[in-house]
Amino acid sequence: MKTKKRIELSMNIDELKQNWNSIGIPPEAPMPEVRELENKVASCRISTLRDRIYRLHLRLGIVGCLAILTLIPFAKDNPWMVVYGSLFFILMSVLHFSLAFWVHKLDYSRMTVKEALESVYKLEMRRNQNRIIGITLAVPLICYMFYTFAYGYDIAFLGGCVAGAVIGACIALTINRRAVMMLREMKRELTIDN
Amino acid sequence: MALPQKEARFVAIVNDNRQLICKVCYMYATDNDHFKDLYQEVLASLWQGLDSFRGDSKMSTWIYRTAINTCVTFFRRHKSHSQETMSLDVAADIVGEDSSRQDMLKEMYRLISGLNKMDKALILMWLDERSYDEIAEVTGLTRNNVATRLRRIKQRLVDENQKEN
Repeated sequence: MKTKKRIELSMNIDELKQNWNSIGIPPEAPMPEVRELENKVASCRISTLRDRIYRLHLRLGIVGCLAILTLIPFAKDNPWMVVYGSLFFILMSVLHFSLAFWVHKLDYSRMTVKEALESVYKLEMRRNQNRIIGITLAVPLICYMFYTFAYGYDIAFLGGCVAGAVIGACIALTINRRAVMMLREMKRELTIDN
Repeated sequence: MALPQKEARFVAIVNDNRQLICKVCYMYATDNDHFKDLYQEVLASLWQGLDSFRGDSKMSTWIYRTAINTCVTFFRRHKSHSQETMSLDVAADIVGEDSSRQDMLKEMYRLISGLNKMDKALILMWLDERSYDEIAEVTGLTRNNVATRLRRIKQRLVDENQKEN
């Protein structure tokens, strides 16, 4: 059984400061291949988490724009569905583009720690807001599409829609659960004003 | 700035401040892989921010700001709830210290790992003998707030330690 030795920190913490400053990086420390890493960074082959989030929302915005094209075949028979669908995809694209550019503007080399922590919280809040707006508008759109496909098209079309909606809902619920957990953790970390 | 010039400047900055960058990453890392991720992320942030560094503040302050901000905003979704910390033996070279000091340093490092991200930043800079003004500049807190919070953190570390014994 593993026993943990407890050390009393009875001495003055201020005294430990000097010892802290004398410690260095041991040769066996798990350093990444520093040279290789520096070269990769210098040649722009490594992107930050912020870049990846920026690109993700940029792509989602573009996907939203392209999704409008998928509605074109229905324009003649169901113009209202196409109008509603197009408005939905335009709004979602705008929200994703706006988030992408907001993320792109974040500069952690100029922000204070307080601002940086708040920016992460704001980012997750905005992503959650986008999700809520998306779900609120998507549900009536999907219902309307179900109704249209059930009465105006082949029954197989409706089956495909239902299967897609169920799979989409499962994915959305999983993502949402993760986001809520992350938001909760961020709130716990943001005890700045205590 | 031309790319070769920027590259040379970047490598020089990293070489001169590797100890500082590593200390910040070790403070926030929960395991070796996390450390590597953080180190890579910090280097990439320094590279991206290099053009905007105008010398308004000291180089070390700018590096602290960039490194801490990168570490506190880096979330690993799959391991976000980990409260583990790296062992100080692995994280730092404390061989030169006498045995009781080594134990106390390890214990202090272990207790610090339980602090929240902002408190870790404060104590890290304080341990590195940064002035209250510099800590306030990096964290965005007022000088008085920094002093008060540091006093509380130090007290908390001692209390936590006494509670465990």
